[in-house]
Amino acid sequence: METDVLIIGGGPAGLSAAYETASRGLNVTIIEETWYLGGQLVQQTQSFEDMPNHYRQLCGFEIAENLIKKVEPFGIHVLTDHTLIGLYENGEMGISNDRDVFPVKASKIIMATGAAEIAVPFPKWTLPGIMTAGAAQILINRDRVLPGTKTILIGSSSFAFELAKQLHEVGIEVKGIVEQQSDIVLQNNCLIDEIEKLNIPILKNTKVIEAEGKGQVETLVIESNQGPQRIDVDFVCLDGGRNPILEAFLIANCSLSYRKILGGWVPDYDLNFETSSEGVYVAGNSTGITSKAAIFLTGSLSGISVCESLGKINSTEASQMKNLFWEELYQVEQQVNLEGWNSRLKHIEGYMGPNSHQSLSGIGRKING
Amino acid sequence: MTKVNTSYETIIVGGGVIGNSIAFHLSERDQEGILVIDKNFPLSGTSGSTQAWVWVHNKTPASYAEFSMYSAELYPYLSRKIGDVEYKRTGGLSPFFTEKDLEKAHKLAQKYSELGIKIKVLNKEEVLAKEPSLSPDVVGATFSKVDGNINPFRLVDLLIRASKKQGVAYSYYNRVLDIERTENAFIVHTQKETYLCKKLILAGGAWSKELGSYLGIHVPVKQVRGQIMVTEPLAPLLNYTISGMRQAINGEVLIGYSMEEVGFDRRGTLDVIQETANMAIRYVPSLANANVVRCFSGIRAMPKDGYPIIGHVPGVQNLYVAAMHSGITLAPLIGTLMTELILDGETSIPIDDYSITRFQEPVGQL
Amino acid sequence: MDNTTIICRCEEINQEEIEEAIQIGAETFDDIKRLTRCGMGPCQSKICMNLVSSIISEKTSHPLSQVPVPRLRIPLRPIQISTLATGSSNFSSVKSVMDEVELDERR
Ligand SMILES: Cc1cc2nc3c(=O)[nH]c(=O)nc-3n(C[C@H](O)[C@H](O)[C@H](O)COP(=O)(O)OP(=O)(O)OC[C@H]3O[C@@H](n4cnc5c(N)ncnc54)[C@H](O)[C@@H]3O)c2cc1C
Ligand SMILES: Cc1cc2nc3c(=O)[nH]c(=O)nc-3n(C[C@H](O)[C@H](O)[C@H](O)COP(=O)(O)OP(=O)(O)OC[C@H]3O[C@@H](n4cnc5c(N)ncnc54)[C@H](O)[C@@H]3O)c2cc1C
Ligand code: FES
Repeated sequence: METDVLIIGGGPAGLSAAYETASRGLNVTIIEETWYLGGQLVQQTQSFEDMPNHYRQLCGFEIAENLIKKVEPFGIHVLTDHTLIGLYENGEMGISNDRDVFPVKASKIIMATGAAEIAVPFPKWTLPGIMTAGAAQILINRDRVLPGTKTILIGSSSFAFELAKQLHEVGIEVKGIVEQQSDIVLQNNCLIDEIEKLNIPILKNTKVIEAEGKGQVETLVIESNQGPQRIDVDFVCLDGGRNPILEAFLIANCSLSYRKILGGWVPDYDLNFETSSEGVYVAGNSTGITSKAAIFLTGSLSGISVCESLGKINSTEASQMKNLFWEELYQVEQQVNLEGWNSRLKHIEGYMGPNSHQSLSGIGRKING
Repeated sequence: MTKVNTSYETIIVGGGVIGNSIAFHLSERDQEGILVIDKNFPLSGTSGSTQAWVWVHNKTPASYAEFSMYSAELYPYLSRKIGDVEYKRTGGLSPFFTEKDLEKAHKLAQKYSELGIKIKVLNKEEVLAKEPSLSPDVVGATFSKVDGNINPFRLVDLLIRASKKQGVAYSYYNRVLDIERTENAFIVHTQKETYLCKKLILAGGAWSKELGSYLGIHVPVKQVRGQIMVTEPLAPLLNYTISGMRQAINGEVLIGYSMEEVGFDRRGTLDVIQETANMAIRYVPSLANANVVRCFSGIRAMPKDGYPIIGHVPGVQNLYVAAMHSGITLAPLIGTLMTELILDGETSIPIDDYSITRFQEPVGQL
Repeated sequence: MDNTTIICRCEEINQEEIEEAIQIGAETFDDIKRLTRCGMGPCQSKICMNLVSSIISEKTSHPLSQVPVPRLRIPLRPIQISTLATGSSNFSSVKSVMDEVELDERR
């Protein structure tokens, strides 16, 4: 199979990249492992502050629907239930749909495989009923199945707070959000008020001792300075944070760098989001986890860069568009996650050399100043 | 980095199965001052990415098969000394699918019998009786009782533990960067330290060429990649070690091996994995339904003519080399013979055929 | 955390086994993998990679940026041999032992 642009991952980043490339006449193929497009947005019923302007009022699955509609007219080859599984000697990507394995020859590849959740280990955390926060969210919002009736959340990112709200909404008793540290650090402190209003306890300075149960979690033992406490639950949600999924990048032999703030190991890339492997681009959470806006905007940026390199837009037009997207990203992130923005620029600098992002006209100066 | 001069009687460069077998056997008899240096952690080289058959038959010339057989015979004793390396003498079957190979097999059996190595040539019915899961397309097979396999991870781990008990020192993540010769010693420069030693053994596997070059010695070893496919644990399926696949104790089947000259690139490629899948089904049709959970690849240290390079390096006092393919099969014997050579000056089984001198290239330049 | 806590759920490897490997000199995920099988399960280390890296970093005092990610193995997902197979019976680089038998004595 041959295509101009091969996009791995049909989440918001992949779709944003698909829009930019397909709408400019390129032949685009999306490979998506699940049976649907939209990625992790599909189970998100909340709306987000840190979004590009035109998405602000919408909640996750609506944005996904929006994006899918937006790319529909351009005749993209969408291969759902298809997974990248390896590489051929000549550099072609190996794709499989469980019945067959075949090579895809592409002029450019955009990898937008998203992020994975990190587990939180403690004694007996492998008991059935203990799951990641994302898994619980998928069950209630996408599959419409309740994982249980009473739960506790371990870890306190804004995602845990969002999820606690959603669990409460569907009638699950949330017995607390457990945090080992003495502080809760959120981009949006309103969430804390909302959770307190729902009478969900926020348990700071609290450690998990162990889980108990016969063949299924029944009790979670936690400990604070007031001593140990046994909480009666029938499922537990773990929020250990997220990090970029690296498999596709390792397959393509892309170099990586470690950036704690971006989520751990992240593929190296330049201002065009091209990785160290020529013709292989990156988008979305795979570029580092900073804000929601970055997911869409990095998708658009990689898409524009691919169009430019395949001669679909000239370089003046391309750099104008790229500057707009970068500017928008800066506008959002300076409010919600300046640390993430700076870390991303440092990441690019680490790969491209000092001050390599100066070309972002006004924007570059804003960071350094 | 602080540079300290530490002295050892013997330094072994390379902590794979070969370096460690030498360390173990040598320290059994002479516990003074042995250091093993590895640039990574043991098993990061070829010994950690191998099929790990202890394989004798089908090797040619017959004298090389005989040499391998002696090593296989040593495994039960080695196990008794260092612990359970999961050595299984399953017997080895080499199936073939053409009449031409049948002829070849008979000739091979004849050659072997002259040296007292017993292999049987089985016809189709006999093969299928022994190994019913093989394809009915099989024409025949050669069979040898001494063939089997081991767990290479346990083998190296247990060799190290036993050697440590016998006083061997280890230094990991410490690459040898250069080696100098003085009149009666070697100065080994590494990432972490500079060492002095009287005797030096190069057991650097696929990196032997580089190690030799520090001393101006040409060790003609090239790199040959091999990719292997591993299934999920399956119910008992194979009774024997088949030349092409084996079933490990936990039920996983390790399938295939390729020969690719791509330098040190250890990535896997689908071209080879798909070919390996074809081979799996051709040999054992019921494997079609098995899931592959991972593939791995390793870089063989392949001497120019395929045969081991072992022994003393002529012209350089107290310098020894041990680089080979089939190092898993040969490890117990190599450890034993190198120890004899170093401590007694001669070996109980001749190793002249495997001397580095056979390459007729300028060796020691001092 | 107590050291019987499972770290690799696919292969049921606990904290203690991982710490023991580190104690004898392992510094990377792959070192530990070869000694303990941690990471060799069906998820191919997706779940345990981060947990193991944190333990390595803590025990060796190497920053996480110096704990390399494990070598990636294809296929990315478990896959049936029949799906992988192409049906061809020409083998270019995959060998059988019989191919290597050379009857002319060279020495
Ligand atoms: C379970 C889960 C729940 C989340 N919920 C929230 C939330 O509530 N709020 C929030 O702010 N963030 C949430 N996130 C973060 C989420 O990552 C982002 O919201 C966003 O979806 C990321 O967009 P993306 O396009 O980069 O990746 P994704 O949306 O993850 O899309 C990547 C796509 O690539 C596909 N893919 C991956 N590997 C392959 C392969 N080898 N071959 C083919 N296809 C492949 C995946 O199936 C997926 O559809 C969640 C993440 C997870 C994992
Ligand atoms: C796919 C495949 C299948 C195989 N199947 C079999 C089989 O079934 N049966 C069999 O008997 N054999 C088999 N082999 C071959 C066997 O695995 C090898 O012969 C054996 O492992 C070699 O051991 P070694 O100790 O020489 O090398 P290694 O294990 O590679 O050890 C060499 C060590 O030297 C170290 N080193 C190198 N340079 C330096 C330096 N400058 N400083 C410090 N340290 C250094 C390396 O880090 C390495 O750990 C197979 C090989 C492959 C690749
Ligand atoms: S959890 Fe370790 S391999 Fe799956």
